[in-house]
This record gives sequence, C-alpha cells and structure tokens, in this order.
Amino acid sequence: MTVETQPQFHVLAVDDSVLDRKLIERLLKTSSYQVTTVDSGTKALEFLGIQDENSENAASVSPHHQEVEVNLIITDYCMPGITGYDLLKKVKESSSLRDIPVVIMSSENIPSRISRCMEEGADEFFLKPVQLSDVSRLKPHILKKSVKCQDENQNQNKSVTTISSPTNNVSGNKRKATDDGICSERIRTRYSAGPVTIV
Amino acid sequence: MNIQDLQNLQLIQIASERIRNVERPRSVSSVSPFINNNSTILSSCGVLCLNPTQESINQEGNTQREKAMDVNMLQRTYSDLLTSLFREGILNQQFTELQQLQDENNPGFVYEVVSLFFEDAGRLINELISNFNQQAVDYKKIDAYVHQLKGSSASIGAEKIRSVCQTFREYYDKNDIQGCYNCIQPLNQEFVTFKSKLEALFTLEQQIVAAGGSIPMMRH
Repeated sequence: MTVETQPQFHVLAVDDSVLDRKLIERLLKTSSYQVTTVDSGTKALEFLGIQDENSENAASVSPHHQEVEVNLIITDYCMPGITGYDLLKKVKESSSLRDIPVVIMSSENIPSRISRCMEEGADEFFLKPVQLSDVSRLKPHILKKSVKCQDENQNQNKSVTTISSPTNNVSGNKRKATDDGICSERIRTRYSAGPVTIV
Repeated sequence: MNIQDLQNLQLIQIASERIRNVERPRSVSSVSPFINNNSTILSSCGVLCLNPTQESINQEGNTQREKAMDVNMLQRTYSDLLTSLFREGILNQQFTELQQLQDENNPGFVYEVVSLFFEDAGRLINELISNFNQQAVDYKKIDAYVHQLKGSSASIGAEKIRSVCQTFREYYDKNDIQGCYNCIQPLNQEFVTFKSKLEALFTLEQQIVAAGGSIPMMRH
C-alpha cells in the first residue's frame, strides 16, 4: 500500500444525472481527488452547511460547520430544483464558502450562459462531456485558493479563464444564443439509490 | 442485424463451444513448450525445452494451441467489431476516453457506465414514444427528455444517438413538429443497434478474459 505523501484534495461534484455522476467521479478519482457526489444543488448546500430556503426539507438552520473540507465544487448547470448557477451564487454569497473554487459543467455552449457564470465568480466552465484533460486544469484553482495571498488585489492573481471544448463536438450547437438562465424543463425520475455518496 | 453481425455472433458461438470442449491442462508449467508437427512453437514465455514423450507433447500442444488460437480469434473479432463501430460512427472519441478510465482497479467501469446508459436511454425512449402517442402531445416535455438523452449519449460516446437527438432539437427550435416526429423512429433504431453491438462487444470481452486472454487496446 503506497503512502500518500501529499494530502488529497476533496471535490464535491453535483449532477442530477447518475451516469454523469459516475463519470465525473471516475475522472476525479483517477486524478487523485477524494470525491463526494450529490444529485442536487439542495443536497450540495446541505453538505456544505448552508441551508437552502427553497429546500423541500425545511428544517431549522443547521449551525454546524461542514465536517469535511471541500477544496473545489464542480456542478452541472442544468438541474431540476436549484440550478448550478443558483448554487454558484449561494456559495459566493457565503462568507465561509466563497473562497472555494466553483466549476460549472454544461452540455450546451451558450456564450451568455458562460459569461454569466464567470461574472458570478465561477473559475472554469467545462463543456460536457468532461474529459481528463479538463480535470487536469482544476489543480491550479485549488492551489491558488489554498495559498494565503498577501496581495489585497485579487484581480491581479486571477488566472485567465478559458473555456474547454470537447474534441468530438463536431457540429456547432446552433441553438438560440439567448439564455435567461432557465433550463428546459427537467423531468427526471429520481431513481438513484442514495442522495450522497462519499467515497 | 446485418450479415457481419450474424457472422460475428456465429464466430462467438463457435469459439465458446471450442473453449468448453477443450480439456484443461492438468499441470501448468511456466516454462513448458508446445511444439506441433508444423514446427510452430508456442510457449508462454518464449523458452524452448524438450519433453520426454513426443505424443504427450502433441496432445498437450494441440490443446494449448487450440486454446491460444481461440483467444486470438476472439481478440481479432473484438478488434474488428470495435473498429467497425468507430468507422460507422456509432461510437466516437468519448468512448475511447471511457476505456482509458478503465484499469485493473476499475475493470468494469465501461461496462457499468454503458449499462447505466442502457437503462437511462431505454426509459427515456419509452417516455418519448408514449408521449408522442398521446392525444395532446407535450412537446416541451419531449424536448426535455431528448435533452437528457443527448447528454447521456454524449457522455458515453454514442455518436449516432447523440446526433439524432441534436437533429430533433434543431427541428424543435424551428417548431417543426413533423421534423421532430420523424426523429423518433430513427432514435429508437439507433438505440436498438447500439445496444446489440455493445452487448456483443461485452460478451466478447468476457469470453476473451475467460479464455485467459487480454482485451486488445485500440490505437488511435
């Protein structure tokens, strides 16, 4: 059994598709990340310790600190309930969580969507299907945030944001470029076994 | 199913029968040689040495040689099938990405993911078909299903299915109902084809492994 000389970084992956969850989990674990997957933005917020006021399980606000440190959040954009964009906003509004880098994944290449996410503070925007080459770009964002930055002006240290494009996306998506943030109505039967998978 | 599929299936059947009929060698020596009358030398580690009785060598040799040939044939059939799937555009590069994520620690990864897709896509297509048969068709709902199917098929590299989904959504954007409707049957057909070919691929994998061989890696 090899001894880990470096601490493993922990990524929270959010996607309502069980297939995509399996894929992102494998991609991340292959890249030596510890992974937690959840199937909704609501569950992601619960895991992070923020209570979502729109949550179906409207219990009293939990004051506990998240027990496991999360080094990066990677989330699908289009999800039933709260979208990846909503999740991004909530994370950036939280004083305890705003420094966690957030990456958005989407199957649709809509420029206005991408710029909205970047403006809201997303560190990367990946086009699906996500590949190993995309995952290899996560480390700098995690390391950047974990280093105590002496410089007050964060903008100087912000890396140039790039948008990845999968090589097999042959024909460009000619759908309407307008995107007011509303995903097409998602009707998905939840048949995944457990809500949270910590591996 | 086309002629090639039938031939592939027949080959699989012949191969599996031969494997069943082959006697297991009683002892396994790491340095045993197998020489047949045609001077073909087969050895698990490339070393040649001599056994006392020629007859026992030939018998053992034929058994082991047959087995090795069966594995080779299975491997060739597998490679041919996989190559044809890419050439026909049924699979794309994303499938190769999945294969690269599979290793000795996660030997069943591709199988698991594709199985998830079979379930997911099968369910979605059934929903599509039943929704189209309604009196009042809810096209928004149908588009949502197709969106999901497009995402899943893209995730595993099912190129033709993904492509039909994209065509459907282009018709939807133009409010072309007939165009949308015309996509449903091809979608179902592509799924049926995809499923049967991938199932054949996985069956070959199982047989190769059962026969002691390794799965050939595609080179791109």
